[in-house]
Amino acid sequence: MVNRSYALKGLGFGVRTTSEEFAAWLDQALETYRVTTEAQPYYSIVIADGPPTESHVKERYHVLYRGTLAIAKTPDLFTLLRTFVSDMASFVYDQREDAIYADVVPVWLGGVCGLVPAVLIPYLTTLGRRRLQRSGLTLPAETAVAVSLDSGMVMPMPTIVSLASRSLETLAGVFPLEGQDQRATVERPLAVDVVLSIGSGDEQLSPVTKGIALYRLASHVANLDQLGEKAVLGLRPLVERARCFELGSGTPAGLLAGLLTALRAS
Amino acid sequence: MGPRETLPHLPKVRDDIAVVEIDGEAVIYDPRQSLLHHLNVTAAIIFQLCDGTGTTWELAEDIAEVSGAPLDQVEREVGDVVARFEEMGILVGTEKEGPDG
Repeated sequence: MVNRSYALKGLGFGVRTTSEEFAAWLDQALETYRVTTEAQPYYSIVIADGPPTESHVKERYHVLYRGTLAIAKTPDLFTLLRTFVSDMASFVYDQREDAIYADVVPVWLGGVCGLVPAVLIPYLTTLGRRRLQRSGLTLPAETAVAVSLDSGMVMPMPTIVSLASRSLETLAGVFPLEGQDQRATVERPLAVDVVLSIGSGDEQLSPVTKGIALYRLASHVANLDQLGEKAVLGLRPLVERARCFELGSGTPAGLLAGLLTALRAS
Repeated sequence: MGPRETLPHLPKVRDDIAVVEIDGEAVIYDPRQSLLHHLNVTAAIIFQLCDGTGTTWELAEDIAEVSGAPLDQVEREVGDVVARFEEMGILVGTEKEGPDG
């Protein structure tokens, strides 16, 4: 295990990884953020390198942990990096005023976009990649959204953490980027069709009022103190345009079923 | 003494409380405590009437007149909601310390 320490706007955090080669790559890619003061490990990155074994006859997964939560498990190292960089950026969301930053994420089914609490994604991925692929659901690579204060549209995330130039090309030279993972990022302003929250009821899926949906969505805003009322006002048009549901607390399979029902109904 | 007897005589929502209405309901933001609250339709109406010019009984009378609901029932509801506002600390004189003390 190799440990590295970084800081973003004065907030230090540690990254540990199972791979010497990946740690060396991080040194170069995140050089700007490297600090000498040792920080507590916050992220752990398990790289599926080394020779294949009997248990690795199919796909091999790289895993990104935030604390003990696996926030990305993917055969595609590039997807893992997008999630890692996105999550790192969350350290500074509470200081920003250019958009509403919230730990909710878009998911897609066909042309329909739903917004769900980000914590739902790691639970859904415990179902296995093939099951999720069969469902037709597209998951996000990022762990938060930026919502326009003016339009209530979900916007492409601004670049907050910059990797050193050409570092991705270098990575491809160190690790073959051959894994395929169809995770999506927001590339242009996006209207949300369905807003989903987690309820406490037994029902797999229930409609909720727009007032409850707005309240729950606003509760996910990272820069609420910074924006105050503007954050809630900014989210209002997003909720007004969307159908609003709550998913019952339950198993990952139940959450997936409820989510698919909500997206198909829209 | 029950909670009703301790209610502010003329309930008034603090000036710094922000309210965003949606479909008759409301989401309010208390900057002092960095807290959000959801108000259902009834609570949102009472919130709007808590401007420091009427007693809870007068608020109930206004609502009963418009809605046609029995006054004693409305009075009970208004009392409950104003008591809840008081617990939330959003009325003048019921402020709570913020998260930083």
